[in-house]
Order: sequence, then structure tokens, then C-alpha cells
Amino acid sequence: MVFRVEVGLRGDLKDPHGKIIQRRVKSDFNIESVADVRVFKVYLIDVQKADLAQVKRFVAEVLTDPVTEVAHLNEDLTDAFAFDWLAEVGFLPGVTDNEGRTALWAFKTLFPGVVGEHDAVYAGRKYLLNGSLGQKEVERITTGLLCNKLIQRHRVIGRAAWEKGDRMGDRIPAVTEQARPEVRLVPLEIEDEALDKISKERVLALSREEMKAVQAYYRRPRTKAMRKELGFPELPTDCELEVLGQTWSEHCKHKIFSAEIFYTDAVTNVAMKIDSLFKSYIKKTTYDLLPTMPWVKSVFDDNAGVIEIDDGLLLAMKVEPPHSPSALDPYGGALTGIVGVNRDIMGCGLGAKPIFNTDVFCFASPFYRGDLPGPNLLHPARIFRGVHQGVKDGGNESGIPVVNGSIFFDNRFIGKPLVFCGTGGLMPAEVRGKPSWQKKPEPGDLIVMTGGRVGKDGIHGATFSSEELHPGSPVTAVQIGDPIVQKRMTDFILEARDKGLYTAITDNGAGGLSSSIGEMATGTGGARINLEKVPLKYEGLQPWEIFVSEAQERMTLSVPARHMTELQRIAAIHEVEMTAIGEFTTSGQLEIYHGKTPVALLDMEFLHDGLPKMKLEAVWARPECNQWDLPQYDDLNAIMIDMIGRLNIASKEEWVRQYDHEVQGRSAGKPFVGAFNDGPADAAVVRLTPFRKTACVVSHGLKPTFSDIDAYWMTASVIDEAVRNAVAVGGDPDFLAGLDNFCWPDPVHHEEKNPGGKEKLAALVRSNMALYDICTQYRIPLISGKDSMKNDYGSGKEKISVPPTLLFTLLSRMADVEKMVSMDFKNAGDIVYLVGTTAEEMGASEYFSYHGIKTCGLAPKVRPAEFLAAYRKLHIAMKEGIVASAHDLSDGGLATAVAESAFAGALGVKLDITKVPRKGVIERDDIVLFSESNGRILVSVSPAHRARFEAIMADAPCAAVGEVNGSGFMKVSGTGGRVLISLPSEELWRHWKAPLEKLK
Amino acid sequence: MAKANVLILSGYGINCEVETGWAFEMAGADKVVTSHVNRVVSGETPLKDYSVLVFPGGFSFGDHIASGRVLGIKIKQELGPQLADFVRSGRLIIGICNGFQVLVKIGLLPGDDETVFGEQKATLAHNDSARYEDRWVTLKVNAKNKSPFLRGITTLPCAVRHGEGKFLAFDHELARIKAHNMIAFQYVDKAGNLTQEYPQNPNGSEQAIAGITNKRGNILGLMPHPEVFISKTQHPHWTRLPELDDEGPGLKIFRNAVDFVKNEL
Repeated sequence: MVFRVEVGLRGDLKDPHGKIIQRRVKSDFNIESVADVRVFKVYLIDVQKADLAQVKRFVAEVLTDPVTEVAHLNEDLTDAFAFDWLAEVGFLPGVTDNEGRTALWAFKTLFPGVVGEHDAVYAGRKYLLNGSLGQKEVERITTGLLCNKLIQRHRVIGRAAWEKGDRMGDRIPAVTEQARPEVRLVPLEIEDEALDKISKERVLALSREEMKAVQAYYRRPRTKAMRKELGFPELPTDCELEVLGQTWSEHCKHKIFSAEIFYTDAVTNVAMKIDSLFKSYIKKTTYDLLPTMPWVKSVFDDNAGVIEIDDGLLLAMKVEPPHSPSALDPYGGALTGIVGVNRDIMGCGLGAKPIFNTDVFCFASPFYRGDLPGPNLLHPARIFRGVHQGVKDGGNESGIPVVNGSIFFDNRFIGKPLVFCGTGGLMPAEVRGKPSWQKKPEPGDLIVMTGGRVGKDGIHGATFSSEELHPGSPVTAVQIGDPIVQKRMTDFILEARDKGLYTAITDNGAGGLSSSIGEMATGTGGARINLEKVPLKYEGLQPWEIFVSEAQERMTLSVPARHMTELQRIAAIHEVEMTAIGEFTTSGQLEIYHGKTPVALLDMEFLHDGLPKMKLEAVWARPECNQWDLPQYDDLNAIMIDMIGRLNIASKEEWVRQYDHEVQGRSAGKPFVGAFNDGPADAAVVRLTPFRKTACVVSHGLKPTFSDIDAYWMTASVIDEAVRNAVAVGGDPDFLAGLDNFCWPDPVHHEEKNPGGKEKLAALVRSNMALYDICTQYRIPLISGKDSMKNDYGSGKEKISVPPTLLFTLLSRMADVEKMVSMDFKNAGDIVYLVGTTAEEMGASEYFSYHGIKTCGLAPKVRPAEFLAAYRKLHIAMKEGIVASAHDLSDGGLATAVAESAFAGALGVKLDITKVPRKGVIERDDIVLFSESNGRILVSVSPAHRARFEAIMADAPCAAVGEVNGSGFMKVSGTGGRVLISLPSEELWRHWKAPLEKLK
Repeated sequence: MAKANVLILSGYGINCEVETGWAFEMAGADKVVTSHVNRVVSGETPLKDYSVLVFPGGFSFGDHIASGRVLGIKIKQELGPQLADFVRSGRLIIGICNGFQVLVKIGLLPGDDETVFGEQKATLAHNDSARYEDRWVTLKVNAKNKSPFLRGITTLPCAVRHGEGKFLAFDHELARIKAHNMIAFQYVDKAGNLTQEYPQNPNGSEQAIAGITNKRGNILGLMPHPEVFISKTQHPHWTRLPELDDEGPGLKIFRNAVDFVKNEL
């Protein structure tokens, strides 16, 4: 029998979670009539052999807090509380239920030997709402705030129905599907249109040309002979097509970056043919620089890039974009994203230990008031909160601090939010005398899957993220991770690594086993797998589903047979499941069986190299436009207050403070600095250990809206932004390594479906050109990157596309952490300098967006030689310890930076903008204040160090523009001594803090 | 004189074991061993060989059901008698954050006057803000508490990083805690006064309690994280505080533990 348990806070205690729900009902739905909300925890205990006495003890000792909570079996508890409506939410069958799983584990610990193979505990929540509400309103609140119908079930009961005996009951969400494993054959000797249909229906996301390449493969005499010899059917199997779909997906194969592109620049009349953007720009950048950079250890081949950050210590880093799932299930998508990229680091080389995360989000405004453009879209506020919570739980529960990130708002992200999750990890340069960044399975090594079990969750994640979202998107693409299962696996793997028990490791991310085994098997030239051995969450999975499922927290190891016993022993201590499911071979074939049934046979060479190259066209025809009109202002006080509260400038503290940013004890430069610990730091400074002075600097640049002017200068700008952020905290401008993450709207032209494709592809080409031009001059090797190419919602004219977005993440180094500089002004009397020149570069600036000017205005340029020379000088001054504060100028320009440095230092400042070094003539003072020209850093220096500082900075564009004072006011004067701004720092601070606090 | 051998528990989502180990290393411990709970249960790491036992911070079992609860069940079921012997012998236990939550939920803290394991009489409930936060607060040490962990410390800036840190106890229990001077740390405002104001009191704890000891003083539990203030660069605005010593003041707690074991156990 199923026992139903409800647990709630004692009636005399306030329910803090209920309060939050009450507040959000008001802010999100404009419903004021909810007087009170209480939240109960619900557990459905389905343990066949359990008796009532055991369940009662379990409820008392495990489920209930004796000080604060009351619990009841069945639904009696509800009677003791007042309510007008009840809403209950639980998971749908098969969805990962972490709390339920923990409860079952506790039951097992308390009563050893009672719990059987099919037993489970299911966790849910019950909400008691008080207030005069209608059924429809309660339904709206439930589906809009309390649950996500994609992964959860819900039920609403009103007081009247309750009185009549209506109860939630004890129906459990068990998976009952009992399909027998079956391998289906898929004939491909059919008409071309029918090939398209197969690709679409099976969510293979393969083009007709690719389907024809597959068709041709099965016609080869060699293929036929091999299939016959090994007992495989002549016709393709479902699993083979799935493996090809996954391996050849845009997500895994980066087809657009490998394509042959015909590029025309109609503005300058240049035409050229590019054979692979990846080879021609990204790889070329790194390979041009590598000969002089022995500290770059591993690029492009592994899960992450690896550099030697200090003697004997390697730093691996990767940034991933898990956007598509985040749009459907923001919480699960983001959680999966963060724990997924953690695995990339654990699976890099022989395995690195994650030491920090980074998070960058692009959302539509959470205060968006219009209609949502699609039926399965969620409101941006909901996406914001859900993503935030997923990243928060993923990072906090794993014990990995979030050290750097940002949130960017533009309403074009309404169809597809962008959620970038990055992770950096450390590993010793050598593991048992071998280079840790290299790995290779040996023929005969066992293929071992470890971590979680396989379910239907996450089927087609790789192919799905290679398609635009549409109303019928499969729900199985959603996964929920369990950070604790993964943490256990991490502990296990790091111990096994140090004992040298495996020869290679990789994570099961997109494409699941298909991807991890497919990749590792290239090391020996083949693999043989028995899917029957794979541990499943529940019965009823088809062999192909087992192979491509992206169920979370799994890694694949290659293990020499002689180490299996010891590996099993360690796994048992950590309570981590591990199973040998096959072996690596030299056969040249990927051979998959389910028991004795042949499931898939694919030639390794065809699988990895058989993909036909795409041929694409790119046309650039958008000249710069510098015609615009701005009102004249007498003073800028009101403007300044509006600007400092714009979403892209306002404080994100309300949200970021909920991430643990200092677990592991390495953080020296935290996200918030200054007198009140709330000034926005430019970059993170992470010490490698407290016993070393060396620190790693982590920064990034992001400004999607610059692409509205030109993706070339967008790219150049974000690279420079990342560099100057790093330099501002004390990072060495001569030790830089970059990670490029492209998130583009579909750049493949199609007359009806994607008429703007050629220009989007041209933007991609230009972005790559800038990446090469700027990075080679800044000497930034690109150590890792990822692209995501279908960030659109809908199709044709209805299509909503994200602006072409490049996130540039940067690693730098600080030899002595004590030379770190923070952005807050330190002392009254310090001189304020502006390093860099200001130009009338207002295109897509916050100031122009504020005035509704979208595509006109010049893009900020980057002059690497000039900028780098200034950064190097500033770095010398920092190493001498004579820089009191330094702050990067970006969104909102000089005005924002000065205000932030002032209120973060609890000080005032006087600024004379006529002293600002300029490039070209700038007629308007407001332009000087709000221009977003690159290459600029605001610095303050004690008068005692004035002479030395100016001597170091000689020949660089740098001028004293003001003075820090104790007035508590930000005073700015302009042309002719006119006072432009005179505001208390504290008032600016309030307007800067408020906007995103409203969302909580 | 005993050896300062420190055993730090790990596994099941505990995640502050490394930095807590660093703190004990810096504090001069003779030996610091980090071991999975199951290794202690199996005897592979014998508890009797150690003089300090550490329940570090983290997210054991993801805080599912209630923070510290499920790891607590495991510890009580499988290590109960050994742990009781350890406590009775006067050796030291420190529980930080999730470790404090475990100690409270298994009744080692506040602890009983008569037996080692009491019933659970206090709890760490959800913060009044209903959310997890990472922020720095100031702690005041209860001068009347004679626990060896607290010697020579009066105030301590420290990070709190939790969602369930609101200390609550039944009235009579709270009275007993006060009567026996078992309060160790309390949240104070800028003026140094005990406070119930958010965010200086980050969770709404009764009596602004941030940490307590048992009556004997050999068990300390606290929500804040002194192990991440062992060097000055860990303070959020250390660049404004030229007067800070290189060694962070949080280290004192670990030094006290090591010194006590070496000199007085």
C-alpha cells in the first residue's frame, strides 16, 4: 500500500515560502486577494514491505522537524489549517525526483533490508491558499507559478469540494510503460521527400543531402559485407540512424562552422570563399600564437581547453550554452547546464576538479507586459527566476562557487533565453608520472558507465538544440540533474584518477553514450557494447533510447580489466554505481548489441568523417549610419537617475548573492567589493590555494546589441571588454587565454523559412574575422569554445531571432594576489584618472537605447596596439601598488563607472569632463559621459603617488579628470564649467539597487 | 599531551572538506585526514585514532527533506556508539554550517546534561528570507562560554552561506542554553549589539544565535564559515583594510582546537 504523508510548519509559525508565493501572485498576476499561503511537503511512500510502525517512525525521525513541524499520515493535517483552496503539485512519471530519492535512501538506512528494487518515495508540494479566488485564478496561479506542466502534474481542490470529501489521494507517478526491447529497421531506398519525412519524424535534424549520404553508405559493398559477416540486417536500424543524427548534429559536429562559405561584402565590394570558419579563424588564431606559448597545454580536442596557470598546476575551462531546455523548463535546463559543464571539466584530460563556475544570462525584460509570441513560451520573469534557481542549486549543492557572470536584457531573447554556464577546474600537471591533460583508451579496456541511471529524460537533446523551437517540441528533451549524485561521482572519480585506475574519461552530455563512446572509440578505432548491461531507471526503454539518452550525471571511463576490482571497491565506498557495458576494440566498427540482438553497426570512419560539407552564402550590405537626433538637456540629473536604474546597468546583487561565491576558499576578488560589499567587481580573482600567491583572473565581455551595428565591432568590443575587466583587477595583460561562445540566429538562408539567413551568416563571418584580428594582436589563444546556431523562435516572417551574440570569457593570471585592485574609491583626496580615449561611438549604447535609437550611431572601435600599450603601463603601476582603484567603462560609459566607484567607496567625487582625453571632436557633454568607447579604465591614485603614476602612464592616453572627496556627492561639470550632474552618491546607489530587487 | 590528529568527514554532498583541511593544516595539526563517512563506519579510518572530528559545510543529500537530517540519520545509525565514546572522552568536535545542522539534528547540540545524544531540542529552520544567501556578517563571542574553541576571540567577521540557519529552540531549552553559557556566537550590528535586523542577522535566529557549544564545551557548531577567513585576501573588501594581518582571524578557532589537544587533552 502507498502511505501518504503531509508535513507542514506548525500553525503558530510564519511560513516564509508562503510569503514569497503571496508576493509573487500579487506582482505576477495582479491578484491582490490572496491573504495567506502555506506550503506542505507531501510524500507518497511506496515501499511494499514497510509496515505502519516503520512508516510512523520514518515520519517522526526523518520527515518531521520536532521543533517546527507537524506531520500526519493521509490528509488529516489539512483539516487543522484554514484554507479556501488547495493546489497540489508532483512530478510526472519518470521525471527525476531528487527529494523522493533521498527519502527512500533514508528509509533504507533506517530499516536495512526492507526496501525492494521497485520501491520508491515520491515528493510533492501542497499549497493552502486563503483568499476569495475563483477556480480559474487558482488554476492560473498553479500553472503559472507553482508548477511547470511539462514535468509536473497538479490538482486543485476548492473548500466546497473538500467538504464533500474530495481528496488528493495516493496515486503515484510510477512509470508503467512495459514495451519490449525491439530493433526496428528503416528502409532508406525511398523517394527523397520520404527521406526528409524520416529525418523530421525521428527528430534526426539531418538535411536531405545528409540523408542521401547515409543512404549511399548502406549501398556500399563493404558495408553490406561487414553487416552480413557480423550478423546485422542489411537495412539500417533505428539505432544507427539515431547515432548518425546525434553524431552529425549541428550541436556536436558544428556543421555551419565547418561549411564552405561564399562571402560577399557589398559595402566594400569584396568577395571571398572561406573553407570552414573554424579552421580559417578560430584554429588559426590559436595555432598562430601557440609556438610562443608553451603554457597552453590542450586545445580543441578535449572537453575543455587546458593551460598551465602556475608551476605544476593546470587550469581547464569550458563554457556551454544549454539554451533550448532552459526555454521549456528554465529550472531543469539551467541546472542541467551547470552540472553538465562541471562534467566537461571532470572529463577533461584525466579529470580536473571544478573550482569555479561562471554564469551569463540573456533574457527579455522580466517586466515585459505584452503578449507572449508563442503558446509554449514562458514569461521572461518566470524564465529569469527559474534559470537563476537552477544555476543556484546546481552550483551551491555541488560546492562550486559562482565567481563571475552577468545578466543582459533585450526583448529579442523572449523566444530563446541564452544561458551560458562555464566551469574552471584544476588538475596536477602530472598524474602518477603521466601528463594529466592527455588520455587514450587501450584496446581491450572495458567501457564503464558510472554515475546515474538511464531513463527517457533527455532523449534528442543534441538534435533538438539543433532545431528552432516549435509548439510540438518533445518533452523528453527536458532533464533534471541531481547535483548530489554528481558530487558523489566527482569524489569517486578524483580518487580513482589519483590511483591511476582508468586510461581515459569523458562525460555523457549531449548524445549520451552515443557521443561519449563514439568519441572515445576513435582512440582505439572501435568499440563493442551490450546495452542490456546498462542500468535503467525503469523498464521499457528501446535500445536506441538507451544509447542516445542524455540522462544526467554520468561519465564513461575506459578501464583496464586488472583495475576493475579496485575501482568497484572505491565506487562502493562512495555509493556510486558503475557498470562495464562493453570494450574498446580495433575493429574500425562501432558494434552495439542488446543481449544477443544486433542493434547497430557503423563504420567509425563514416560515422566521424562521412558528413557532407555544407555550402552556404553570406552577404553583408549594411553600411554604418551616423544620423541621429537627441534632445538638448539643461542638466543630466534626471537622465543620470534613469540611466543608473536601466536593467543592463542596475545592480544584480539581489540575485547573485544567492549563489555561493566563496566555497572552496579560493576567492580573493569576489563579485561584490567596496565598503558595503556591494560594488560590482570587474572580474573574479581566484587563488589557486591559500599556500600560493598566484591567482587566476576570470572575466568576460558581452554586448549582443552591438551586432545591430556590426558583428565585427561587437566581437572586437566584447574581447576588449573582457581584457580591460581583467586588467582592471590586476590581471596580467601578457597572460591571456580566451573562450568563444557563439549564439547566433539561424544563418542558413531559406527563401520562406529564413529570408534573413545570408546577412546573419555574414555577421558570423565578420565576427570570426574580428576574433582573429583582435585576438592575434592581443595575443589571446582561443582554448575552447562552442557554438549554438538556431536561436530563433517560430519561422518565416513570424520568426523572433536573438541578436548575434558572442560571449567572450577570458582567463588571466596574477603572480601576486596581494596586488589585486578593486573598483571602489578608497580615500578622499585621491586623484581620478581616465585611461583611454573617448570618441563619439554611441551605436547600440545604453544611452541611445534609452532614447530609442536602435541601429544608427557608430560602433565602438578597438585599436589593440594602442589599448594594450596603455593596459601594460597600468599593470606596471598596479604591480608597484600605487593604484587605489580601477573600474572598467562599459554599459553607460564614464557616468556609470564614476557613480559605481563613488557609492561602492561610500565617497563623493568631483569630475570635470572637459579633461577627458578624446578622439575626434565631441560636441555634446552627454555623449562624453555616456559614450561606450572601448579601451577605457577609470583609476584613482593617492596624491602621494601622483608623480610616479603619471611617469608610468606617460605616452598613454590618460588624464586626471577629477578628485575623490568626502562630500557624498557625485558632481560633474562640463563645457564652460556648467554643472551637469549633482546628486548624492547614496541616491544613485538606491536607484541602482532597486530595479531587480522588485522581482524577488 | 595528545597528538592533534584531525579527521574531516566527506561524502554524500559534503563540500567544504578541502578548505577546512587547509585551516587545520595552517593551524599546525599533526595530521589532517579527510575520509568518506563510509570509511569511518567500516573502520578503514578508525575514529579512535583522532582527537578532533570535523563535520564540514556542504549540502549533504542536497538538503532534501531538511538540512543535515539524512546524513544525521546515517551517522546516528551507523556511528552512534563510537561517536558517544569520542564525545565522552573530551575530544573535540566542530560542525560548520551543514555540519552544525547535522549536530543539532542528531541531538549532539545543544546536547543533554546526562547523556551524549539527546533528543533533537533545537533546530535550524529556513531563513526568514526563505532563501539561500552568501554574505558577510559580524559575530560576537559569548565571553562567558569557556569552550576551548573560543579562547581569545571577541569578535569575528565571517561569511554565512546557507538557506536554513535560523536557530530555534523550545523556550525551556533556550533558557537552559543561556543558563549554562552554551551560546558561542551571536550576530551583531555595526555598533556591536546583538541584532534581529536583516541582513546583519541573516536568518532571523532567536537571540541572534549563530553558534553554540554543548555544556562541556568540547562540541562547537556554527552556521558561519571561519574556515574561509584564514587569510586576509578572503575578506570581501580586504583591499580597503590595510590593517589586516596576513592570517585571517577565522584561523584562531582552528588553532585553539589544535593547541587544546596538544596541551590539555
